[in-house]
Amino acid sequence: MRGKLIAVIGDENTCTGFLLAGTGEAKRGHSNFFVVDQDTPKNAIEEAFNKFTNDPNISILVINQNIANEIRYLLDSFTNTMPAIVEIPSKSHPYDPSKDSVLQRTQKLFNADDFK
Amino acid sequence: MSNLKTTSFFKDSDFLSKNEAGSISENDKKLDELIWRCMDIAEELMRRRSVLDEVLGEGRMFLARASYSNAAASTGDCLLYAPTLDPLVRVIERRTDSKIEFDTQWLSVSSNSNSKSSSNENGCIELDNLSTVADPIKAFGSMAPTSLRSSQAFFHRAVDEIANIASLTLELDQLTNTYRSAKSLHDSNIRKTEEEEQKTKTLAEDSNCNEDLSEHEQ
Repeated sequence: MRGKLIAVIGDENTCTGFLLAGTGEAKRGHSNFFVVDQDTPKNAIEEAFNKFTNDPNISILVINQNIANEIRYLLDSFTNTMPAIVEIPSKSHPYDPSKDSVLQRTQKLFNADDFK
Repeated sequence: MSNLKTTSFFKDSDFLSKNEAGSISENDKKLDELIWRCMDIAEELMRRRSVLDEVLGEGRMFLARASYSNAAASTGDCLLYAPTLDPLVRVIERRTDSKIEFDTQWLSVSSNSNSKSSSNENGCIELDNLSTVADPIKAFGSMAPTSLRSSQAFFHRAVDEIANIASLTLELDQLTNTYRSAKSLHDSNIRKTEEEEQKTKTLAEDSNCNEDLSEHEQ
């Protein structure tokens, strides 16, 4: 069975690391990674997110959480099962579980009344 | 984009009304089991996250060392701007009754002894005519720095951890949805039961009033 790919939206350091590990695919101008730097416009990040989440060959989308925060509204409204979105820390921005869209949905589920 | 059908951890029929065998307490028990399962997964998720943070940190540190030791060329350029890249790892989706799991499938790398290669202006090696998947580290030449190999090993582990985290996150999300719908059904059953009890009580009271009135008239 031919497996699917892992896409990456991240800073240069993150993308390089994952390409070094072997997640990258690039051919004929198409690739499964998108490098974000300080000059990358928000609409380009949105476009990359939409492109990867609409690609049936991608199983997991890895994204730096600080970049995810810029398009949080897109992640919050993305409720499909596939691809699975995994937010990861960057070199200078540690992972904050309170901002993770998936964990936020779980947190909102439980309130004090549930434990009465 | 695939929309996978969420399979419930429990079926709706598992949540019985008070009039059937099992009663509301059975439903409470099942909801508790769902909550406990969610908490177990959340705990495992946090543990995996901690491991991922650690391996990513180590991977980045070795990548930085490789960049310092190779001062002229940017470590990333050789890969980020490569015209062609073939993935070394693919994700297999394994679907069971109630969940989906991701497994990583690592391909074997070519020995690169029969491939043609040429060096570009940045000092990166461009690999041509490969019939098997090339190790991305070969783009840095046959004598890639040790720190680069160490970085690769840590990011390799990070990929495996990410697949585990994705599986757990998906399971947690599915359980959350199941709990939400089960709780809603359970609360609806309780409300119906209370309304029926109220109606029965009201009818009984009315009946008692009527009896009192008729006795009084007599």
